[in-house]
Amino acid sequence: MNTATQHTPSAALATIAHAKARSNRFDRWRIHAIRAAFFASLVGLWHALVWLEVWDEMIFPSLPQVAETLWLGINDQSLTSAVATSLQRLLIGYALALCIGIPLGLLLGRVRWLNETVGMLALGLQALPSICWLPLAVLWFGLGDTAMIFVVVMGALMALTLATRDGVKNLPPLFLRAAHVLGASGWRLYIHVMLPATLPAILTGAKLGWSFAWRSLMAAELLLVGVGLGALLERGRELHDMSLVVAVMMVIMFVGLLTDRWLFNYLEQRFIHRRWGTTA
Amino acid sequence: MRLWLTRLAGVILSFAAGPQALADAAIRVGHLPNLTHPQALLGRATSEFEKNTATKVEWTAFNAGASVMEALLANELDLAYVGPSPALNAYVRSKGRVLRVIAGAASGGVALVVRKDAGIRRPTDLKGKRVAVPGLGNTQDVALRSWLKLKGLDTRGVQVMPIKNPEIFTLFQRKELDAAWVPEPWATRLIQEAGGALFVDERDLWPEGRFPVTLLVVRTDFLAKNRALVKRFVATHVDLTEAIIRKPDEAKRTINTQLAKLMGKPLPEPLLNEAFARISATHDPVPGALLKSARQAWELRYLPGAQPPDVTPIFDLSLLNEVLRERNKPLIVIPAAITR
Repeated sequence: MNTATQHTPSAALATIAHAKARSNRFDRWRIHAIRAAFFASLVGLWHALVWLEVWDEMIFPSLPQVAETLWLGINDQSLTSAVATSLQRLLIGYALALCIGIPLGLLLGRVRWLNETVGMLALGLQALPSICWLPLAVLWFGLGDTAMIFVVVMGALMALTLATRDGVKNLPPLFLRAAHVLGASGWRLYIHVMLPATLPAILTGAKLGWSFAWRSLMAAELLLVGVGLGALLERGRELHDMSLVVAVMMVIMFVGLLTDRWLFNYLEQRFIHRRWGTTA
Repeated sequence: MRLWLTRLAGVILSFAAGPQALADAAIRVGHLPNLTHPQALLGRATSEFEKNTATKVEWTAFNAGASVMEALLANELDLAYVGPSPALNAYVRSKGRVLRVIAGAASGGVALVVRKDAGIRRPTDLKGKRVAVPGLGNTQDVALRSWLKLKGLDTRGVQVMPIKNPEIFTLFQRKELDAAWVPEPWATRLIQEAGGALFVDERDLWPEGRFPVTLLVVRTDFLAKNRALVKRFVATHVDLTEAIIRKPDEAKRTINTQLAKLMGKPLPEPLLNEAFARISATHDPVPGALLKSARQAWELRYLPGAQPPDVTPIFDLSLLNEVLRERNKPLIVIPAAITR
């Protein structure tokens, strides 16, 4: 009886799954260990360079210095409020870019003459780093947040639009024909067929747009006065406080990593893999 | 063929040695294209420094004092004309290693200009207004924030914005800014060309109306290795200062042609006259005022440390005093314990 159960296909599958899970767990553990070792050696290298005094302390701050600056920045809220300000600008700009970019991309994918004109312009603007808009934005919108948000929008918009357009263009024609046969037309076609079908492409564009938006914002904050992470970095530069510069760089990386690992990973799992049945 | 190869090798070698050889032979000096750097502009125009030091001088004009100090720290400059605050910043951050103040260059020439239609009559009217300074933690920024504190205003009430001088001018015209604490010629430009009114002349805030707006600083290791050369530079600097004081009109004109070369066009005559009248060229670094502004910068948390830093060793006036002694002029003394 015992031997018999072991030989049933389902039991065999269970054994395999069990072994797989164990090896998965082992893999995950190993990856964590390797990652920890990598970062530890990076810190070690940093420390060694400081200890050997390869560069002056002033141009190459030590880890304790940076840690202290981070701690002070969190304590007096200068760092936390800078993160909050930057994220607020980013979210507003990014939301605007989403609202404009996705519909525009859907249209460009469907309407040929629009694609030949506006699509061409979008392609050209895509090649233009959005920080180039800053001088004009300052004159158009003044020194406030609006100018910076404009730069963020211009940074994310083209990537989003073009990715959405390409998503629409690469749709299997069968989908559209089927939709047609089933009676979907007009806005229904866009909302119920094209939008869900192009979601993978849109998410790719959204990811790209997010990183463009983040970079544009940092550049704008570096150049324009005021508050925010970029401004804090510039403050470190102007006061020759390199530990502040490194601390802000770390925070910027950390925020980028968080959004990429958590937010987009989650969205991908939730909307793409599950829907398209590609969950690992 | 062999000859050709040797020649090629020679060319390559000379390229490789070229920049190094040039760097050894030249003094690299930084300054700002402002009227408050008169010796730099005059000396650059007349090549006086080259003549007296018998060395090539490479001039670089910067946009803000912080960038000048950045270049000095990066070993790209040997000497620099710069405001006291950037010099103090670099000095304190490098734990007193990187530079020394070897002479003063100018006093005065800084003003708070307000937009006429911004409705600012008393200092308290600045509440909620945007006031520009040319750089974060720079000399004017420290002066403005300390002055605001003195008047019972803090920077939460007044928005202090560090913006580069040319942009301040544009934004002031567009009414994006209500006031600006700036050096000459920008203060007068705002008054004459952008609808501004003089609100505070910084000279009125200091004893005897004297405070350092520009200093001559040198990289410490360059000074140690080239004392004789630096002394000739300081001597030229003192003579140029004298020339500016003796014949201001002539100096003004030469300085303006140099400014035109750097900025694209000369300053209009009335602007030049008004602006220049507010500046005094001087070889005196006014040590007392500098020490005071160091304390102000520390209070504003621009300078690190739990205690106000002791910045007296920033001065190395030995060369200046040697030069002054040779010219039978009164020596400069650093007042002891002025900081409290």
